Amino acid sequence: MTQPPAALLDAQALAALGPLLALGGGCVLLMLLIAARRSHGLQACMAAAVLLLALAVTLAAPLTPELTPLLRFDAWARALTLLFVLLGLGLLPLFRHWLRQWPASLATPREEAYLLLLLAVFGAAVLGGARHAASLLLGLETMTLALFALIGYPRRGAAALEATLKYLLLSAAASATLLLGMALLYAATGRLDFAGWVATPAAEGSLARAGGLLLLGGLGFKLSLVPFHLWTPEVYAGAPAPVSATLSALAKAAVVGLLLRLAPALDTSMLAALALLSIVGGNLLALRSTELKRLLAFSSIAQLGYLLVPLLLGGALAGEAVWLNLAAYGLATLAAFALPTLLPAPEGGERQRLADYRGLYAQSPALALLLALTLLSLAGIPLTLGFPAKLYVLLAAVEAQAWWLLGGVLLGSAVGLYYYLRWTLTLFAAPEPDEPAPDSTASAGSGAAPTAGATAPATTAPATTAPATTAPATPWGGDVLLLLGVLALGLLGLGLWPQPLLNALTGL
Amino acid sequence: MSALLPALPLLLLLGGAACALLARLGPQLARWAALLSLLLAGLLLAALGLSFELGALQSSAAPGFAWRWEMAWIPRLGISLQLGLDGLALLLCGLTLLLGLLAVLASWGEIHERVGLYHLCLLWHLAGVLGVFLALDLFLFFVCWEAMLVPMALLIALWGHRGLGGRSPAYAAIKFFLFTQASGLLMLAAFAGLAWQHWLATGSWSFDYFALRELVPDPAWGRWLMLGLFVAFAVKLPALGGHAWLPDAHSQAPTAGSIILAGVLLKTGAYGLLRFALPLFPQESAWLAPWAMALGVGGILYGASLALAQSDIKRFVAYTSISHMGFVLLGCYALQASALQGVVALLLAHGLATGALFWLCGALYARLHSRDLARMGGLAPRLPRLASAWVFFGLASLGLPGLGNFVGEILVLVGSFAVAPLAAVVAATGMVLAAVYGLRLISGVLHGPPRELGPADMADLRGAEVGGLLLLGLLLLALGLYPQPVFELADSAVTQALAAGGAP
Repeated sequence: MTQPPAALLDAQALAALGPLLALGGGCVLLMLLIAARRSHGLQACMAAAVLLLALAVTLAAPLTPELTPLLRFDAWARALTLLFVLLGLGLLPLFRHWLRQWPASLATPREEAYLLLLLAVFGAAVLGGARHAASLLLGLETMTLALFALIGYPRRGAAALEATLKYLLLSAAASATLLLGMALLYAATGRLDFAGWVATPAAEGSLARAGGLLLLGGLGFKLSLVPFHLWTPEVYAGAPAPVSATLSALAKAAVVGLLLRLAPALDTSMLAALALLSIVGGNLLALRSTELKRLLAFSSIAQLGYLLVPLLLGGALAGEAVWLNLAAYGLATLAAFALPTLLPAPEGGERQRLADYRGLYAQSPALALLLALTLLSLAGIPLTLGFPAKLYVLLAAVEAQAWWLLGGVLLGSAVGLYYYLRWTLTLFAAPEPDEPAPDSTASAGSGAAPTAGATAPATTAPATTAPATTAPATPWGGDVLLLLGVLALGLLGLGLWPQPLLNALTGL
Repeated sequence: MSALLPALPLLLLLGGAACALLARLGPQLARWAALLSLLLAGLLLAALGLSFELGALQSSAAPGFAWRWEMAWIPRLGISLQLGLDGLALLLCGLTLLLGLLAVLASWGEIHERVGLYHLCLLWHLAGVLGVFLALDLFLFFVCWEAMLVPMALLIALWGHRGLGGRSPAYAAIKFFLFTQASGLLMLAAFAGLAWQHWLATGSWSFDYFALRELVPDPAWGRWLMLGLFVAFAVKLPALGGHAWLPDAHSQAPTAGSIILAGVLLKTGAYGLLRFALPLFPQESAWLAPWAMALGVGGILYGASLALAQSDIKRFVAYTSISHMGFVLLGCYALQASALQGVVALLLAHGLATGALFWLCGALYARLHSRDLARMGGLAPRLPRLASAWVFFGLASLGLPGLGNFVGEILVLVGSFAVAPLAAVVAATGMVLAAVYGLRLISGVLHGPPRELGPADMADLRGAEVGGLLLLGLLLLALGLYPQPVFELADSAVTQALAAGGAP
């Protein structure tokens, strides 16, 4: 804790700081670039270059458990940073596709979105390496502030603004709770570094216990665990789909990473109660939802509940279980939110309702199959990545003889099957005969780019064999095709053959 | 030869993909591709069957399994791709491929929409079923168990009929999926528990069938683990209590779906009991036996009496399946070699007879556009070929001596009489009820005053249909008159099922 500042300067420490330096430097670079010259394409390329550089640096950086009093770069931090950078790279094509359709009538320029995305990744990476209350707050707030701006990015959209306000107010309350928790822990232990908190068992003294509970409440909000979940469906539904993906994948993964560090300091039985409530509550709430983004919001609550089970139990398989679930959750979330981003929608909005997805297989087989694969993976059906993840949760629960949690996971999964399968069947169903095809009139009526789909058959040919009326308003770039390929390969390929991924995770 | 084992399901998987692609060129191509891949798989199985040596490897670690194939899959958890073919698996795989062929033939004139996707679902489902019958790794078994569900749910949901009260086929599909999948989760938890017991005992995780068969689970957990397996298999069978999905799924599925559901899918539940629940948990099974036999007898009477009350012919046949599966459950938990032999014979006979009945239901529906028993009657003079087939398979289903079902049922009764006379006596009344419903089914459709249902110039069965039904009929007859080869093939599996615990 009282490391001399000179240690900061040695070469190894500098190299270990590399990922953060690359991401932080990249943010500054993007900001300067916007000041110098506004160009959407250039900005997207630069963001990709920064993330790729950060990826390379993260892989090369030496492991340094005690980097500074605030930060560390151990195996977990490296894995988390890799995960965040990869998620950022996966989100980029979605952002690019979203912003390419940006109506010129909106006063907001589009280049800043990439800067905000990069800032969110940077904040998450700081969180991944945090070992002190100060770096925790810095990382969390950097990420959250970027997310506020992203949720409200379409400034004229009432839904987006409403979502921003909700997230802002509730997030501020959660941050305040978190701060109070830290203050109480400081009062109880006299220390602000994680090691100090972990060394003092939560059960010792009511101050420390109260502090731990408040800390858990603040983090529970960020993870939208039941009963801190109320903001989730509203914000997910109101925010643009790529931003919802960022919230759901990146932000939650970052907080899970933090929870991994803090788990020994937290009250396990309280965490178990939150996990059970989230599994049951999330699945039950998802049963009635008829909008894709709300469904994904509730399903993410339940998925986080499953993920918490091995995290709080510990044991031989628990570490792998958490990481495997994180990977499966991240991939599935990206794939799921890719759909409303990429599908052409009536009246410039997004396809939200269940009815909008009816018969999608006939219009766009590739996207329908991807969404089906994603939903089956979330449901934990074999041959998808979700299945080994679910199996690990079960094994961890059996190993720890946590029968209540095991029962909760089984019950939640059984309930979840209903809505996941209902959505999957809808994708393949024939369109209702009495109902006009949802976008046959709308895409012709929307004046944005009525002929763009017809002029770009080359890029869309593999995905859309549907009649010309349903061709996307904006053709997909190569980056989108690459992303979709990687997502499908990850969900299916790793589901069929998970051993390489397990090998990589066993060392953690 | 062992390397041919994975080729069986793979052929169907590839064939299914080929169907989906070829359907773009023309629906007829997809049908031929499906037929061809099933025929090829059938030839492959025949090649394996012809060189099958009874009593192979009797002394080895895997007695009875003439061929085994293994490949590392997830070594971290002791999971491997392990397939094995013994006599029981050979019989059931043969039944699967035969009924699969007939299902493709039955869809030939029935399915005209999205033919490619349809055959993809059909073949992938059958690939999953083959995997279930071949898998010797519990994890792989579960994967195949689940892999057969989604395609079947799609088959019912997308190509099914409206059911009672105008319920959509998606309702039946989701009900079917939820019942089997939710109980499947219990099975997965039980498998995880077994692997954990292995880990406690040896320090390594394993899902290997033979390793786990050697394991004696902690008695405190054994019953719970066994119950997890039992619930999953009993729902699939279905036993009384887990049967609610069956009438809806059977009656609302397209013809091919009903043939496969009744002929093949129900057999996976019985297979699971024979292959996994009994040998892995001998003591626990003996403990459960009285309850399970009671459940079986209940299913026999319940299915038979409810069948009598049905007016939809497909629901009628579906309820008779519940009754027949009651015999299977009774036979399994009699824990007697003769009863288990009867179970195997009954499985085959029920697959053949009920598959044929559902095919005829589809043929009737195609001609009459109705499945309402009350509106039928007097069809015998109008459709002589269909009528004789209907009589033959109806009699087979009610257990006429000389046909396969009789052999199975009588062996089950004899075997269970030795351990539970009361259960056997009550179950025997089920055979009387079977005669009642069988005759009602036959006379309700064929006899009585002719009705005005259907066009006046209805075509009788076509040549291909007659050929397929003739094959099924001959097989039933062979099974009824000379069942010895079946007993010999099933012997090693039956011995294994009883070896560990022995009869109480």
